[in-house]
Amino acid sequence: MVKFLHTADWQIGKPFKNVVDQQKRFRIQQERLNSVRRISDIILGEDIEFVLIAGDLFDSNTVKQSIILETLEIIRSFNCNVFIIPGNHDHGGCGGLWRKKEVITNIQKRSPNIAVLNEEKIMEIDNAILIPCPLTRQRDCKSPTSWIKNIEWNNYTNEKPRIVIAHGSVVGFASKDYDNSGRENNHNQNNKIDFDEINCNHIDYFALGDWHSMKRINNKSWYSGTPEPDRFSRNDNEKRGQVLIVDCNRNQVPKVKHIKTSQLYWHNIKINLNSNNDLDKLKQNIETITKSRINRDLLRLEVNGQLNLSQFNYYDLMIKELTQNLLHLRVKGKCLCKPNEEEIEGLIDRPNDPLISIIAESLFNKIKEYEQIEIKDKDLDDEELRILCLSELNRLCTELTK
Amino acid sequence: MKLIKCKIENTRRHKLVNIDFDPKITLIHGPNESGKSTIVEAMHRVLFLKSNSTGLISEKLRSKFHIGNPLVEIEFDAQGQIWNLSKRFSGQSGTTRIYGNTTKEYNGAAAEDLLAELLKVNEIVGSRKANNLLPKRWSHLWIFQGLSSRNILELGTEYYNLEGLVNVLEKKSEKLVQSAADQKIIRNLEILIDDNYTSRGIKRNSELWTYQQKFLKSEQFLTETKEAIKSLEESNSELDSIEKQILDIKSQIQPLLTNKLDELQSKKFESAKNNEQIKTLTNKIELCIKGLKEKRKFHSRLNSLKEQKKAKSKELEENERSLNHLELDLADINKKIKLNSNNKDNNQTKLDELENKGIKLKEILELLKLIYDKDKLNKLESQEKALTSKCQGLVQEEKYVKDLKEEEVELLYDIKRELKSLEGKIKSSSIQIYLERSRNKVSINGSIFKEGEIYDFIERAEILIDDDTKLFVHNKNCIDLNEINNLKHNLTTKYNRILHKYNVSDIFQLQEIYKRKLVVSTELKMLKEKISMIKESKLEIETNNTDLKNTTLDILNKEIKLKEETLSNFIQEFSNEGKLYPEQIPKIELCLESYREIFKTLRNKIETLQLENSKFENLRENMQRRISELISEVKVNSSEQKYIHEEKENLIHNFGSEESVSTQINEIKAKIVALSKQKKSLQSAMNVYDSNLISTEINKIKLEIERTNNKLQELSISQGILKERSFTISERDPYSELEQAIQNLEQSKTEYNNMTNLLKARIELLKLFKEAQLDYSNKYSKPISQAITNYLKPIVNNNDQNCYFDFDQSNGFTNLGLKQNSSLINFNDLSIGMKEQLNAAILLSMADVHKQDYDNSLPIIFDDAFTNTDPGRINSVLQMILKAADSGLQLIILSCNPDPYQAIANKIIKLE
Repeated sequence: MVKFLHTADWQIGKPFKNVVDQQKRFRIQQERLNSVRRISDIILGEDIEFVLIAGDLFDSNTVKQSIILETLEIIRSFNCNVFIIPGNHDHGGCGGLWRKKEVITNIQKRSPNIAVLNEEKIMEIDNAILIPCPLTRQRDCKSPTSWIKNIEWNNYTNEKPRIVIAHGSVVGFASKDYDNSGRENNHNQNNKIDFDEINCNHIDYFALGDWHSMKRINNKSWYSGTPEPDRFSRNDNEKRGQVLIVDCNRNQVPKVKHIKTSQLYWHNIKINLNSNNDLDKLKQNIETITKSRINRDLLRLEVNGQLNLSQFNYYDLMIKELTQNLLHLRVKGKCLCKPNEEEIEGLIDRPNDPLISIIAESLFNKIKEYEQIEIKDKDLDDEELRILCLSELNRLCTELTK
Repeated sequence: MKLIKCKIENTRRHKLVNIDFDPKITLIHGPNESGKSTIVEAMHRVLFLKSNSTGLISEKLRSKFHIGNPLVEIEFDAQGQIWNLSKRFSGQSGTTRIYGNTTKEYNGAAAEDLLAELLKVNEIVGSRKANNLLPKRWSHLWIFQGLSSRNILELGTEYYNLEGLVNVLEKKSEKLVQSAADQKIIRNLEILIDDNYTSRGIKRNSELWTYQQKFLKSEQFLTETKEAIKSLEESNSELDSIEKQILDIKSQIQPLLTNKLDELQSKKFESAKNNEQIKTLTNKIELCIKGLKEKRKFHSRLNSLKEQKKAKSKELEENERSLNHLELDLADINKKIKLNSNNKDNNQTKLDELENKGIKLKEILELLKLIYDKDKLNKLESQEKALTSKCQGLVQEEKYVKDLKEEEVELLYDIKRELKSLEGKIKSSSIQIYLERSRNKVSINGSIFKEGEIYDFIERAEILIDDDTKLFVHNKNCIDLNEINNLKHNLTTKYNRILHKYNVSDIFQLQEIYKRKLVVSTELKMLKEKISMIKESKLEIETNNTDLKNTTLDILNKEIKLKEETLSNFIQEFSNEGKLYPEQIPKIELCLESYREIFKTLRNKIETLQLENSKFENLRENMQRRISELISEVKVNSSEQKYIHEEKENLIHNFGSEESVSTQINEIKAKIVALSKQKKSLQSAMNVYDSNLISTEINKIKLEIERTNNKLQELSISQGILKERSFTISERDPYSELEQAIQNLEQSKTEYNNMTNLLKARIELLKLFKEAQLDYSNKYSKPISQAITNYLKPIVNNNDQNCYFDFDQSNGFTNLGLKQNSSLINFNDLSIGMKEQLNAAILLSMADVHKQDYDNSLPIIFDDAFTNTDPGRINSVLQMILKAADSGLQLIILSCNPDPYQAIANKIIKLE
């Protein structure tokens, strides 16, 4: 029986350039290192024999040396063996950080508990057999686990649990990677792990990395997810921000439990803003999810709709406040500022300026007509253009009065 | 509003005039200076000029004939009431009074204000603004004298009360006019758009351009960053492959090559031994082959000698045969040459004979020609002599009358004529007295004058009758007798002198002599010409025959005789008598010509024969050369045969007979086969160790090792470069840059899109404004244009012809003209008549619109407004006026010619 900690996708050194405020950016970057410190605490409390990191420990092969050293320093404090495989972000090929002389020397000198498994070669340790499937390229069309089928199992003891460490998505289960802006990154055809190739009877646990939320593929294959989320989730069921503690025996179903490690909260809100009511709803919603925390929450706000000037000002104020209080606010979509009814009335009711009045009225009527149309039939560009026209007309008239 | 009546007092030429207007058409007519225009002016001033106005504008109404201030009263209906307005124009003290049938009386300023309200004008004009405003008041309703052809639309909107017009039209369409604010918005939009766009697209350095550039730069930055990452990854994967290659070379290829090299070198040593043995065997075989070669050489030489001998004999035979043939041909040619030579000689003899004969004939001919020429020369000399003597006679005769000239004869005739005319003159100036009857004794100039006698006198006559009566008759017309007599005497002397000079008695003789002189000199000229011709002929003959001068005819005849004797035979051909005469020359010449012909043919024949012979001679020469060649060839051939035979004998003597040599060859062959077998077995034994093969193999391997080392070096260089590149890119932290680039792009794209959308909105807004403006323009220009066209219909007689103009808020109606099909005629290009009519139509159309503000009627005044309209058109104008009257307008027409309007006028007023 062996007890180990399974984690992956730390992506230390992620730049978070989309966070403009430097201090906040640093905070988010720093939180990733903090999560490693929390893992260290868990290890101490859980009587862990060794740690498996299934790829993407670092965000890229160009992560700053100081950050690498700081990370290795924390890992050293784990006080147990740590086995790392390179993932697609920090691949083990040439130019990869694991091949850098300074890194190798540093590991040898300062963190002898670390072993980087950069070769497709079985590693027998005291109480387990490790089958590492390192990535040597960021994108490789060959399955990283394909070499397992060629292993002569008779040469190895049948007493110790056999653990595969691999990084990549599993064939038949499409993993989704996102780039830093939250867009999907379409390189799913690479680094595919093909279970059909492997005789799973020989293996007792698959420690998988790459998928940022925790995922059980089958009773012996798990994605641990990232210990600290680094992006907005696409769906509410994603479980992110934990590590897995695995009890494993040869020829037994492993026992897996997870322990929370994350400290930051990533939220998604999607809302249509057309009235004061909507604005109140949004405010309430944000208060509920952030629980008035300061600088701990990141929010992706997707808005649509039209607001009159005073509403828009309120909305604008709200956004400014959120930008200040949240660790990061990302606003998607467009909330248009259209003149309010009073303003429109002011434009239409100009007996002395017939053209302004006629045009304002015609635009207003068209916008009203449009509001009756089902969203799916709408040409949103047209609608936006009309509202913009009306706003601009209003602005020009106001300017004229001044 | 309608005018009802008008009273004008003390206004210019009018002491008092009262006019009642018809509600429809009123015609006021009268001769020039009857005060028509004064009425119009007075009515215009009472309506629109304050009574207390001062200055020229009010002074103008003042009368020079009548005492008192101008007073104008006018009655009109307006706003459902009948109003009485009266104004006395007395400068500052002028008075205004107005009252309606149900209202109180208003005076002064209040009255003016009420009037302004009734007339719907801003104010009644005071003297300060009169110059500017007064001409504009109702200038679109009243056409003053002399202004009928001006384009009112060009004068400005105030001249046709555009504001009022638009107000009515607005009321009709229940919409409002475009305002200054509307226009300001349009202008601002245009500026905002122009700030960012030009006709070619986005304006450089504009706000939009800045956003666009930022966006494009962000895009480029992202692409570059992506490229950097791609390049980094590619470098890394290349590094991987290089590393693998280096490992392969070092761990596998290099050891393999070294092993192979060792193996080959040991093989090389073994093969060296075998090679020695093979060498000895090869030498033996070579010796045998050498012997065999010699034997074979002898054999083949013998055969070739046999062949040569056979060939030579055949050649000899051939040569002898052709020699015989050639000799036969040669004899034939010789024969031909001889024949030709004979032929030629014959011809030559004939030729020589002919030539002899010819020479003789030529001599005779020349002699005969000489005789002929000498004879001719003698004849010419005698002719010359005769002519010269005749000439001398004539010269003698000429000498006598040589000086007589034609002018002298003419002069003589002139003198004679003049003398005759002098006689006539004397005769014509004389007086004749005829004594018809007398009983008394009459004497005249002392001579008795008898009955029946005639007495002529020139100067005067003294008549004595019976001595007691004496008459003096004096000729008053008498000429100067003395002068005439003198003249006569002079002329006579001159005449006689000439006659005397030529020794003749009268002028006729002289005339004869002159005629003779002319004949003699002509004859003399002819003779001289003849003599010179003869002399020329003589000279010609003499130059042709230089000997002729020195010889005589006798000598020549003697010579001929001599020739006759020597050539008697030959002469027989031409003369039976055996004598030669010059007359025979042509016959001899003909004969000579025939000789020449024959001579030419003979000479040609000889030439042909000569040519043929030279050809034959050439042929003969060739044949002889060929024959001698053949003879020498035959000789050479026989000596060669001899040599061949000797060599053959020699060979047999040295090597033995042919059969024995064949046997020797077979023996050597068997020996070679045996030796080769031995060598082959040795070679196959060391085939694997073929030293050459091994050496090349060793070289190959060495080369391969060298190549591998080079490759290794190349790879490590590439590795270094790639590592450097990978390091440089990594230093940039491209992944962080990528995030930054995406962030930048997103922001700049949003900004750019927002700006683009804003501009799109502005463009759309401007479009909407322009459309609205167009609607608005049409709203005003269309109804008026239609109304005008409607009025013009009877005039233009063409349904396609329309009135057109543009409209905009600030300038009102512009570009007035007529449009037919697609062609446009500007107002200024129309005839004056047409201008008047179009103006009237515009005025009536506008009045039609305006009248809605004035209880559906307005008074229209035409003061001599159609003076330029031709009589043919005037009916159409009348129709137009009738139509206007029917539509409710009140028309007042002033004209000095009432005729056209009388038929339609409801009321006619005549001014005295």
